[in-house]
Amino acid sequence: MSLDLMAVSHSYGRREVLREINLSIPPGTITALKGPSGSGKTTLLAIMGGLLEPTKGMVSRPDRGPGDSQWIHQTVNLLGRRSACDNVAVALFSQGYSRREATSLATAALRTVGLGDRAKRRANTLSGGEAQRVSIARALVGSPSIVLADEPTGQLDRATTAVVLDALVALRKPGSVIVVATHDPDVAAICDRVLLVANGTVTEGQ
Amino acid sequence: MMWRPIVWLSEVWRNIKARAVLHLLIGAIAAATFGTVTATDLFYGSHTIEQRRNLDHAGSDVAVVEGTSTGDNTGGIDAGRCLALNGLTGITRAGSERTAAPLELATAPGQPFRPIAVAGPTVAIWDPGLADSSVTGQVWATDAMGERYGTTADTISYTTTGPVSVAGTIKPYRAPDLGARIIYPDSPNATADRCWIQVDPPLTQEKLEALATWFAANAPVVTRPILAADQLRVDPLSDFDSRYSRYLWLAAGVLMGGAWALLSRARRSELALLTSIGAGHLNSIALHITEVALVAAVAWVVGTGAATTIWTFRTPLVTQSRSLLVIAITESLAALTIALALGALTVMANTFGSQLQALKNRE
Repeated sequence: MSLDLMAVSHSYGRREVLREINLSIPPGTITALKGPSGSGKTTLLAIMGGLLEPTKGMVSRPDRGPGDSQWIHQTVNLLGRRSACDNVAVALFSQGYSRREATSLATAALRTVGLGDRAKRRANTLSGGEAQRVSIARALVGSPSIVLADEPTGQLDRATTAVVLDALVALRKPGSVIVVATHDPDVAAICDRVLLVANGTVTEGQ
Repeated sequence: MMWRPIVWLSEVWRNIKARAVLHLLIGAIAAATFGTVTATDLFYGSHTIEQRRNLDHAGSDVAVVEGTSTGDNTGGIDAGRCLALNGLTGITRAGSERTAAPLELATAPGQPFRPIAVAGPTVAIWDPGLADSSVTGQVWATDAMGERYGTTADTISYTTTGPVSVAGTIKPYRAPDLGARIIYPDSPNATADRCWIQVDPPLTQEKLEALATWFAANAPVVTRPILAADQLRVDPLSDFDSRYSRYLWLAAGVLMGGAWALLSRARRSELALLTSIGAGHLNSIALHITEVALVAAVAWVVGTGAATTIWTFRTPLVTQSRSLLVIAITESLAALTIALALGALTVMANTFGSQLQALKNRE
């Protein structure tokens, strides 16, 4: 099922950030949102993920309820005092998993992103790249229908970026919609489709 | 979907452990706050009970009726009339007193003293430590008599009569001017000098007037409380009700509620994060509220328990009362409830507004 936006507009006070956006993102694809800072990429992502209600228009999401849409944030957005494993497992509780099941799946997801040996480390003791990979593992673990990534490599060096991109590609599954807001051409390069966000509108890019 | 209860509880515990120092600190402050509310009530209440007890020992509820000498009237009062007060509503006990002819102890010849004859439970009115049933029909000595002549619970002999058995010595708290006396039982039909009456508290002007009316039918009398009027105005119980600390529970509740509100506000972005990874508002709110409630409840038990334990061991048993404990714990519980309500409201308020902005603030 695709992620559809129908005549979506959004304003902050009198400032209109998005204007009459019509968009359909098919499952099994990775879509990049490119555009200058302040163009509305994060706002568009938030509307897609349900963190923000659009001022006008409708959104049709393919998710199956809580826990079925996951975020990867620009900066480390983990529960700093909890372990890497706990940070991943917490995304599964809303899907009815027990702690034992969630911990087992979380450990496997961390292994997938190369952090099997860091599972019990506190999140605030991990490096920036490791923490971002924990975020990706969290997005990976519940096989969500929607994954929204906001500048996932924005604060990483090139070597770590490559690792994160590999992990991001691993998220691509037939039934999932992945949307990435980015400035990074390397990130755009792994995407199936690039959309340009500028002046409140969205156009197909290269 | 709501988290499984066991998952939810284990998350609460893990979150508390993850911020152990912060939770210990806020828990200690909360325990001290709730404990202060409890301790203030308990110690103030015990002080009040002690004051009331001292006032009672001094005779705050005791009146004396004396006859007045007018014309042919010699000034005595009818002891039978005095004893008839016993059993009336509002009267705790009443007994008469008459100063008898001087006597000399065989062991102290040439040192006459005037014994006192009493009818009814007069001795129990003078010494609140004695029960009515143990005092009537017995011979007693005042403690001053014991100090002066060595008279205690034994057999004494007067110079003029045979041996008399003394039941013991009394401490006449409510008749401190009695001095060294032997007190022996008198006929209930005699003419007494005065009638001692202990009323159910408080001793009011209306009760004094009613007593005067009771005796005035036979002869003119003077009715007076044994304590001065300004002492009678001291009412420790109303003093407790109007104490400055009576709203301490409210202040404590607002203080701790405010502290938890600030802490919850500081964790607003965490709620947004949990929401963004699919935990849902209900789970996130329940998680944070349970954390606050658990720390608050433990702090309340520790604070109130410590205050109660200290009070139990540091105040005399006679100044401890169950109703006082109920008041103290109720007020402390009210403080806990207010604190929890404010904390919970703040957690819920945190879910309003832009979650996106909350996440950005986190970044």
